[in-house]
Order: sequence, then C-alpha cells, then structure tokens
Amino acid sequence: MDNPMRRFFSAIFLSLVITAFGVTNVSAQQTSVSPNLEELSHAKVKKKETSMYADFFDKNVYDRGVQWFYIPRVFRKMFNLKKPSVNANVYDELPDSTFFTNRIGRKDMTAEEIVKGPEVTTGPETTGPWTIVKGKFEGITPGFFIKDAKGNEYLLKFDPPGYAELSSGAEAIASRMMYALGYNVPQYTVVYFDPSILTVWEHATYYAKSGFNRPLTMEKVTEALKDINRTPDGKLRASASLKVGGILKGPMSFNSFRKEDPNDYFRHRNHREIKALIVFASWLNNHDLRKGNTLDTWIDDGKGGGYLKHYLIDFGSSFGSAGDRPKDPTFTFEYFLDYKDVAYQTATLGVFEPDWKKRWETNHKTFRFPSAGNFDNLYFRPENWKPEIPHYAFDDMTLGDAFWAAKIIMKLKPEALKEIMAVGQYSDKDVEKYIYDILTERQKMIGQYWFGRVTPLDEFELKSLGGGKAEFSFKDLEVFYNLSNAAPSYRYRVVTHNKKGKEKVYQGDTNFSGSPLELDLVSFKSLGKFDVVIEKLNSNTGKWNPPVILTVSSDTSGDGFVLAGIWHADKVKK
Amino acid sequence: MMSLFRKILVLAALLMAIVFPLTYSSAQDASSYDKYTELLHKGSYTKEKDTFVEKVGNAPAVPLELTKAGIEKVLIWVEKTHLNDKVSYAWGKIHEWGFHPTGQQLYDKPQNGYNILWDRSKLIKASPIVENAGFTAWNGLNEYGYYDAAGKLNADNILNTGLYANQLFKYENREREPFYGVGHDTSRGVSYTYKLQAMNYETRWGKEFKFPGFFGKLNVEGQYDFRRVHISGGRDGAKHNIENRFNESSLAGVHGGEYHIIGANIMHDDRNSVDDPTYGGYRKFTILYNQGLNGDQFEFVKYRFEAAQFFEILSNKNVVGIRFAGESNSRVGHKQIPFFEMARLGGWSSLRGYEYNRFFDNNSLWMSFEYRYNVWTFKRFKLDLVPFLDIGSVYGESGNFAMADTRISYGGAARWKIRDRVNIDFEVGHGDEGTQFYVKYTTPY
Repeated sequence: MDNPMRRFFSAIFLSLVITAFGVTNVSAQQTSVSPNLEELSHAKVKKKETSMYADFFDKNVYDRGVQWFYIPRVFRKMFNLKKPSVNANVYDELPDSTFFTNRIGRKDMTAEEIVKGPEVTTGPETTGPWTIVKGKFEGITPGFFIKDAKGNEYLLKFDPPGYAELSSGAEAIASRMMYALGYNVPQYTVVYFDPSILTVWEHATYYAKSGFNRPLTMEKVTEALKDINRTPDGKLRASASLKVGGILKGPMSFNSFRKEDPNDYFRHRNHREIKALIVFASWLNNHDLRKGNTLDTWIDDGKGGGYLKHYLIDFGSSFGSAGDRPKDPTFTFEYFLDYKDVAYQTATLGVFEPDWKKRWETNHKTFRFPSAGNFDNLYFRPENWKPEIPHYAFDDMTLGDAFWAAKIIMKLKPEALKEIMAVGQYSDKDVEKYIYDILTERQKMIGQYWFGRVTPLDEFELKSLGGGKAEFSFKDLEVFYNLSNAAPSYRYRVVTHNKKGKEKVYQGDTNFSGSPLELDLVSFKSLGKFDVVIEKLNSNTGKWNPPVILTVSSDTSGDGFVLAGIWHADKVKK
Repeated sequence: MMSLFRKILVLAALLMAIVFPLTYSSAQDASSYDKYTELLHKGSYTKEKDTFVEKVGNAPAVPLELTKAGIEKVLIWVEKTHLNDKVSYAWGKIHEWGFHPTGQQLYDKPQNGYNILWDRSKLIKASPIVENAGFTAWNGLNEYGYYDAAGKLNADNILNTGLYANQLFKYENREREPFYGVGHDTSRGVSYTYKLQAMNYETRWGKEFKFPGFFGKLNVEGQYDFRRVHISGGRDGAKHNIENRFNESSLAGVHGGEYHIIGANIMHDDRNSVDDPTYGGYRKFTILYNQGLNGDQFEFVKYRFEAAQFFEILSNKNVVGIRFAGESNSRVGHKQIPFFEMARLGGWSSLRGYEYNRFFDNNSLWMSFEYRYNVWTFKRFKLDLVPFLDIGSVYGESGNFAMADTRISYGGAARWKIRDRVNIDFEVGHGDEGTQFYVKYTTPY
C-alpha cells in the first residue's frame, strides 16, 4: 500500500476511534472555550485607581451604611433571599472566562502542573545583575522593583524582620493553589540572592518615610536591607513576582463591572467566582481580599484589538501571615470594623468572649513557628471566616456558590498539596508539615460544612433505558470524600416550575438510597421539560437539605431523555 | 503475503466492527452534556441592567453615591501623594523634639482648651548620680481666656537610692470659673463667676520603694508650696461676678491671698498598667498644712485620700474599676479656709453628671464605679465602652456627711485606645440637673 492510502485508512481508523469514544464521554473530552470576546481597543479602557484607605472606606464604612438605602437589598436581607450567580451555566458550573478558568475543577492536575502554575519564567536570574528601578519602602518591610539580566521585571518583597520565610513562603504556595483552583494570578517565586548583585538605576526613586519622593542610592538600599533576615551564608530571601503581561489597567471592582468593556457583562458582585472567593480564601486564610489586590490587564489579541484579563494579586497575607507581620488575633474572625460584633459585644456588656479571643488565650498569645505565623484551625468555622473588609459579593453568596467552591477545593488532592508545599522553600521541614496539616484539615472542614448544607450530588449522568425509563447516576461528594459517617438518605419528586418558581408536583416525594436512581418517566414525557428534585436528609438536623434540581427534557429525536440542567438550590422550597 | 500494516488494519477493522456498534448504542442512550457550556442558567451574555423595580428601589442611595465618589477620590489622592506619610512624619518629628500638643473639650465652654507640652525629661543620660533628669514645660490656652504656663525640673533615682526631687513653677489664668455657693444644696440657678490668677512654686522630695512581684511600688514624699492667688470678677456678661455679691467676711478668699503649704504624700500603686489597668489599684493619701502669709488669715489642714481598685471580670477585656475619694479641710483655730481651696465636686473628674465645680464645701466624699469592656479590637486599636455611676456629696463639718444629701450621676463613655493607652475619651454624664458631655484624652482614674 502506498503512503497516501496508508494515510487515508489511518485517518478513517483514527476518526472512528475518536468518534466512538468521543461520543460516549463528551464531558471528559470537552475542551473549554471562553465566551466569544468582543474586540476592545486599549485606548477605550480607563486606568482605574484605588488605595487602601479608599477600599476601607468604600466597603467597610460606605457600603455597610448605604446598604440600608438599597430597598431591594434590604428586602432580600429581611427574607434571606439571595440572587443566583448570573454567570453560572445551566449545569451549575462556570464557563471559562477572562476571570476564571476551570483547571482542577475540569480535570485532575498533577503536582507538577500546579507547581508550574502560571509560570512564564523560572524567576529572576540569581547570577545578577539586578537593577533596582524603583524602591518601595512604605510599611514595615521594604520592596524593590527590579529588572534582571534578561530584562524581565519583578517586584521583590521581603519577609518581616524576625519572621523569615513567613510571607514569601505563603505567597508562593497560595498563588499556585489559587491558580489551580481557577483564578488568574501572577507568577511568584521564592528567590535567594546575594545582595551584591543589586545595582541601582540612575533615575530610580523611592518614597521616604517622610512621604517625599527621593532619589534611590545604594546606601539607602543597604540601609533598608539591614534588618532583613539573612541565610547563614549572607543571602537574602524574597518573593519575586513577575510583572503581569499586557497593559496594566488598574484594579478590578468586587462590586461593579467596567462599563467600557463589552466583555464584562455582569456586575462582579453577581459573579460566582467573586462571590465564592471567600470560600477559597477561607481555605488559604487569605484575609486581604480587596480591590487593591486585583489587577486588570489589557491583552493584545494580535488582531488589532484585545481584551481585559482579570487577576488576583498579592497572596502574602495567606496562611498565618499578614504580609508585613504575623496575623493579628482578630484577623479572619472580625472585619476591620465589625459592626455586628461591636453591637453584640455592646449589648451583652462584653460578657461573652469572641472566638478570636478564646483562640488567642488558648494559644497563650503566641504561635508555634514564626515562619508559619498565626495559623491553625482552632475555632475555624467555614461559615464565620471573614476577610479584613466586607463585600456585597460575599454577603450574597448562595449555598450553590459555596458548594461549587468547596467541590473544587476538594479536588486538590492531599498528596499533590504535599508536593506543592515545596515551593514555599521552608528551611524547617516541620514548618512545611505544620502548614500542610492545617491546610488538609481545613480542606476537610470546608468540604464537610458546605456539603452538609446542600444536597451534595455531582457528576450526574442520565441514561435512557428505553420504554420511558431512565437512570440517573451521580456522585455524593460527602460520601465520596468520606466526610460523613451517616448512611445517606435521599428523596425525589417530579415537578414542573412556573415562572415564579412554584412547584407543580407530578410525583410526590419518594425515598431512595443512592445512585443510580431508576425512574419511569413515561408519563412525564408529554410535559416536554420537567424537573426531578432530589433532596438529601441532613443526618445532624433530621431535616431535608436544599435540593439539587435536575431539569430533564424529552429527547425529540427518540424516546429517551436528556439532562438539560442542574441547579443546587439555596432553600427547601415547595 | 499481507503486509504487517494490512494485517493490523484488518484486525482493527474487525475490532471496530464489534466494538463500535456497542459503543455507539450506549452513546445513543447516555445523557452526555457539556458541563462548562456557555448556556447560562439565567439570562444571557448582555450587559446586566437593573430592572425598573430595582432602579426605583435603589434611588434613595443615588445622592449618597455622589458623596462617596468625592470621598474616594480624596482618599486615593491622599495615599497617592503620600500625604498621610508626610503628616505622620511631621507629627512624629514634633514629638521627637519634645512637643506634645493636645486639645480637650468639655461641654462647659470655658474648659475647652489646647495644650502643648514640651517634654525634655531625658536631658541627661543615665548616670550613677541621677538615673534621669529633665525639664518639662507646658502651656495651655483657650479662646475664653484660660491660660497656663508651667515648667518642671525633675531628677529621678538619685545615687541609685530611689530618691527623687521635682521643682515646679506654674502660672495660671482662669478668666471664668463658676461658683454656685457653698454647701450641698446650692441652687444651680444662682451662679457667679470669678477670675483666678495663680502663681505657684512647688518642691517635692521623695523616695520610691519598689517591691517584687505584684506588690508594686510605694512613694513617700514631702512637699513645700508657695502660692499667690488673685481673685477678681469673672468674664461673663450673663452671670454675676463673685466680687459684686461677696466680700471677705461672707466668703473667705474672695480677693485671693498668699499662703504656703507644707505636707506629705504617700502613694502605693500596684496596677498592672498605669494607662490601662485591668487589675491592681492605687492608694494615695495627702496631708497639707496651709498657712496664710502677709496678713492673710488662712490656716487650715487639708487631708485628701483617693483609692482605686481594678478587677478583671471573666477576662482581661472586662474590667470593673472602683474609686473612693474624699477631702477634708480643717481650719486651725479661728482662721479661714479660702473658698478656692475648698473641696469641690462636679465635672469630669468627680460627679460627671454635674457641671464643673458645681459644689463647694469644707469636705467631700464620693465614689465612682466603672465597668470597662472592650467591644472592638483591630491591630493595636481598641474601643472600650464604659457605663459608670458616680455618687458623692460635699458637707460642712466633719461627721456631717449624710447619705440623703448625696448626688448621683450616671452615664457612659466610649474610649478609643491605641497600644492600650486611651487617646480619646468621650463621655456623657447625667444627673438630676441635666446632662454633661466631655471629650478628653485620658481616663478620670
């Protein structure tokens, strides 16, 4: 056989194989596609600004007060109604977007893939020279913007004096975890370098403690570095973050969208990945969630236009670190200004100890490892975890959003996490193990809590058995991850929903014990589309959890049925 | 002979003939779906807009949005220009040079004021002769004519013995001091004002005993004062001047006087913190012999005591503070006690629901009860709330104190603390004569 024939038959053979397996397992093979992005010119995108004070004022003072003037919000608050996330799809998942990419949620990632993360370079070349182009001396620890020998630009941030490895280790690990979970993050690398490779650009400046911009000199750099922790061989350790590609357009709001961006469709407070960010942050203990720690960049698409990509940045406040020091005892337990807690303490005359205080006293006002900072799971409650400032988006998170986040979190396997810990480059392996143990325990606590609040079923498949019968198979994540000892108990009913969401029941509640669920749906075929509502019994409360609603439609081409939608509801509603 | 490739191809075709129909039929039955489809649960990829109901419902917040935008811009500008750093740096420098400006506010306007304290208490380096020596000067004024200026020299732990010495020079001018008469039952409606100008020289010598553990420290000291006081009509058009109503026979000291004082002070302090105690307490006792000079017929002995104790309730964030205090002035022979040296009650430091200097008499006895509890903590910042109760009375002769004459005031305070030191103390006190407001920079005790 000649070569063209061989290629022809090979192609037929391969296409047959691909077709066969492809059809049977489309969900596994499906590659993600971002929404079709509209061209956006760089000039059209405004560069936004924010500041720490503005973030605190906006979210912790203004929003908290003014929320009572938004009548629909007040109404929703009164009746505990929450808006569903507008960017969730019919299968209760998120399509890939410029905000979020389904990574570990879509398929397992190896430890190597996660460690690689958003890697563009392997970090600054430690052979030097590194030219400091700008100093950043505000705050407790200094930082520098540098250019390495290859011309790549990095921001170097140092660990607080006396707490070697604290923030740099946390940032390297947490950023990779956030990348694996699906967010866009810059590349962070832990670097050790000899300070002699530093040089200062002749036009470099820095803001002195006096608040005035001054020319940066080598003497000033030496002075700034004098308190920074050094290794026994005199090297400095820093977190090097690579400058994000594209044209920087300032921070991203957690509340509203950019009017000028045609691809920014929904108010960010209604985005699932923004609402559920608090669940991911609670795992990583990253309390510093604010506008100032986000970044929009305009990416050239090579076709004369471009689009905006939305990043989360700065993970130095993860785990037990607050960036420039270990976390304060109140962090993650109370907002900066926590009106509710203040009112509670006021009303109860301070008789009841807040959790942060009980924890701090139990820990004898200290922590085990300076490099790990103030981090443990004592009094950690996933539902009560708080960032430094509140956001509407987090207030509005539904149980479905939290379930979605917890489901992704649970996908990061402990064995992979163990390997990821190495990027923190902790000199003491006990520190690495300590943080790993807390993270794995917390991962389980998060799964246990959020899965326990919904009907935690996932990975649904619907198989038509012929003759109007169908079989639903699914995975109960609470069972799959071994988070509950109780034998699961479920019930289902077949309904249709009217426009107001009210159910019309066609088949009443029927108990069943697990996957698969075989149903005779022949009598509902004439409805065209109907919902199978499945609820799981909460073994702790003895009540039924909010259901997962499966929308089933008749397959018009045959006598089967197709799964047209999945939704994890927020409330038990009949 | 079939080539190897052909053999593989035929085998594959046979395999496909068996496998494909099976897989295809199962594919027909399986409900497969694109989990990450762009088909949204609700809505579509169009710019999200408020519904009519939402627009109307959100309208009340629209004017506030405009305010927010302005404030946000200012805050961004402040941080961008590092204005906060500049102010903080300048403030730090002023303190570094020893200047400590403060202000204070009482509801009673004459007591509003601005103070600047110049502290050079570390003039010398620690030496075997004197551990610490310095000079402190302060100056306060307000728009109602209050003015004071003082200088204090101090030498601490002389020859490492715990001995210390202080020399104080002070001048003060109070343009409008209230006076409601002498006694516990004076009317608030009948009030007078006076102007006080005083010059004071004071020297104190003492020894500090430090005890190990929780027993704190004991200070025993002797003092000598020379004072010259001049009283005249107070600056207040609406109120009566004291000199128009009283003369020396009806109110001793109505024109002031010159006198000197010799006395002793004992103080024991075992608080765990002077600025923000949670347990321990202090006890002070003072005895001062006062004698008129240059023909002034003053001669009396002043006894003063004050004791405060602090207790933690359940934890160190809930603290009960109790203070007892009293003053007794006993005339020697038939000599006089000038009214401006009488025991006084009323105002922030004693009965907080009453006006400053509301009650005058020879003796006073009073107590305060405070429950201090923390309601907010962030980094080094704290906010404490403090319900309080003050009870006390002035009375004429020793032994004439009557519970029925006591005045009660109650109220609440909010205390803002930085690094466990009170920076702002906002208090509201209420008594049977009305409500008083105070803004101060420390606690009453």
